[in-house]
Amino acid sequence: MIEVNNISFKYAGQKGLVFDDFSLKLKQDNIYGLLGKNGTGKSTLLYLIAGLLRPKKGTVSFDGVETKLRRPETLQDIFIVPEEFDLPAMSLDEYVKINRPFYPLFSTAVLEGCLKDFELTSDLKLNALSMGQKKKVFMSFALATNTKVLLMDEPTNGLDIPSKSLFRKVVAQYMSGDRTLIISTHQVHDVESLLDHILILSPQKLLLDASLADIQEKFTFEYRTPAEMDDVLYAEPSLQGNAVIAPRKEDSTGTQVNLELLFNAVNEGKI
Amino acid sequence: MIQFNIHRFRKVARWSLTNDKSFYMRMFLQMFVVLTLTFLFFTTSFYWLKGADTGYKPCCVVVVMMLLVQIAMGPSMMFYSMKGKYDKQALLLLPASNFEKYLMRYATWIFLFGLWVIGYFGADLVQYVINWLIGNNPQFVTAVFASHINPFSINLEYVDLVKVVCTMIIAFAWYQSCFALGATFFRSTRYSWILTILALIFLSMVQAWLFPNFSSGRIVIDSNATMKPYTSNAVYGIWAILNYWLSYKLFCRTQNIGKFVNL
Repeated sequence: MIEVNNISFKYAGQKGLVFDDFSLKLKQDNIYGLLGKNGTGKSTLLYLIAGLLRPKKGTVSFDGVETKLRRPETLQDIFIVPEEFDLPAMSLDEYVKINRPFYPLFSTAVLEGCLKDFELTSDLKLNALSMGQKKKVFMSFALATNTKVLLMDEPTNGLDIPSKSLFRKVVAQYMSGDRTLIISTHQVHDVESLLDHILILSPQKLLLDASLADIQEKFTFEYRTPAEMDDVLYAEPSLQGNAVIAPRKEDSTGTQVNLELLFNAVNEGKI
Repeated sequence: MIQFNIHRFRKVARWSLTNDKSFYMRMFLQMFVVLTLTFLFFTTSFYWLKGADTGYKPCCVVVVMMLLVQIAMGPSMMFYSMKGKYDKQALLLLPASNFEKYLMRYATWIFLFGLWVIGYFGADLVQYVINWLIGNNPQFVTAVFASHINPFSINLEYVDLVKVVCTMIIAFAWYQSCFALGATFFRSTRYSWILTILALIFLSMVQAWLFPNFSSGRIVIDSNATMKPYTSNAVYGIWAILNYWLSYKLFCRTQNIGKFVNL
C-alpha cells in the first residue's frame, strides 16, 4: 500500500543525508511502531509519506500514486497528526463542518465516541484548549476521518498519565477495518500494547522491520540470574535480575516483547 | 496534470473563508481606518491649513495611487493570513488539488479589493459627516473623483483608448504575476511583498545594465513607433504567464521545511 523506494533526503543547510537509498513497504491493516533515536528521521519519514516533504531521489507512493504530488484522492486517504500543530480559532463544530466534507468516510459517531472517551465535550472553542486537549481533539478528528492511513508523530507527548491509557483505549477501539496506523514515538511503553509491527530506524537505514508475531516466535524476553546467561543475545541489568533476549526454544511458550530491550539490542547490533 | 472540480473548489473556498474570517475582518478595519485618516487629513483644515475643499483633488490622487498599489501588489497577500508553518501544513494537506488551493489563495486579493471598496465608501461617508459637523464645506471624494475621470471630458481624438487599456491591463497582470511569484517563492508570508520589491529593483538594475534599450516598459526593436507598445505588451504578457506558471509550480512543490525560499 505504501512503498518507499530508494529515497534520498537531506534538509537544506545540513551536511548529512537523513535517508540514503532507503526503501520500505508498509502493508494494510497493521499498527506500525516507528522507533529510533533522536535525529534518525522518524518525523521526516512520516512527512515524506504524507507528501509534506519531497525526496531528492526515489519515490514514496500510496496505492501507486506518488504522495509528493498531493493529489486529492491521496490526501483524502492519509491523515497526519504531527507532534506540534495548531488549531484555528473557531469552535469544534465549525472546524468539523468545514473539514468533514473533504473526507468521504468521516464518521460523526466515531468523533463523538472518541471525545467522550477522552472526557471532552463537543462544544469546544479550539483556541481555548491546552496543548494536551488540542491533541486529544485532533486525534479524535483524525480517527473519525476513517482514512486508510493514519500517521501519528509522538502522539502521547503532552498527554497526562490517565490520558495515555485513554489514548490506547481509543486507538484500540476505533482503528478497525483495513486501516493502517504508523506511530512514531520515543515513549515505547505508551504504545507497546497497540503495535503489531516494529520498524527501528538508525541514521539513513532501517535496522529492523518485523512483525511482533515474528519477534515473539524467534526470541524470548525474560529475567534471568547470572548463572543462566549462556544463550543470551542481549542483556541489561535490572532490579528483577538481568533482562535478557534469548533465542526462543521450540517447546517454550511465547513471552511478551520488551520493546525497550529490543530497541537497545537492535541499536547495539546484537539482533 | 491540473485537476479542477467545482464542487471541491466550493469546499476549499468555504474552508479558506472560514479560516480567514478574522484576517479579513482585521484587514477591513485597517483599510477603513487608513482611508478615513487619509481622507480627513486631506479634506479637513489639517491639510494646507486653508479650508476643507482645497484638499479634495490631491486626496483623489492619493486614493488612485492606493488603489493601484492595492491591485498591483494584491497577490503578495496570498499567504498573508497564515501565521506559520502549521497553517501552511493544514493547507497543503487539505484533500483538494493544488490548482484549487492555489486559485483560492490567489483570490485573496480579490476579496481584499472588495473590502477596500467598501472601506473606501465608508471612509468617504465618515469624512463627509465630520466635515459637515465641523462646519467645512463637505463633498464626497467619490463625486470629486468622478468629475475628474468623466470619459466625456477626455478628448479621445488624441488617445488610443484600446491601446491604453490593453497596456494597463498587461502592466497590472505583469506586476501581479511578479508578486504572485514572490508570494510562493519566498517563505515569509508577511514580508514577501518587501522581498519581491527588492528583487524587482535588483532585476531592473541588472536589466538596465544588460539591455540599455529595454527601458520604461518598452523594447525599442525598430524605428516604427506604432510597433513598440504591441511588442512590449506581447513580451510582458508572455512574461506574466510564465510568472504565474512558475508561481503555481512553486506552490505545488512547497515543502514543510523552514527555509528562506521554496525550491
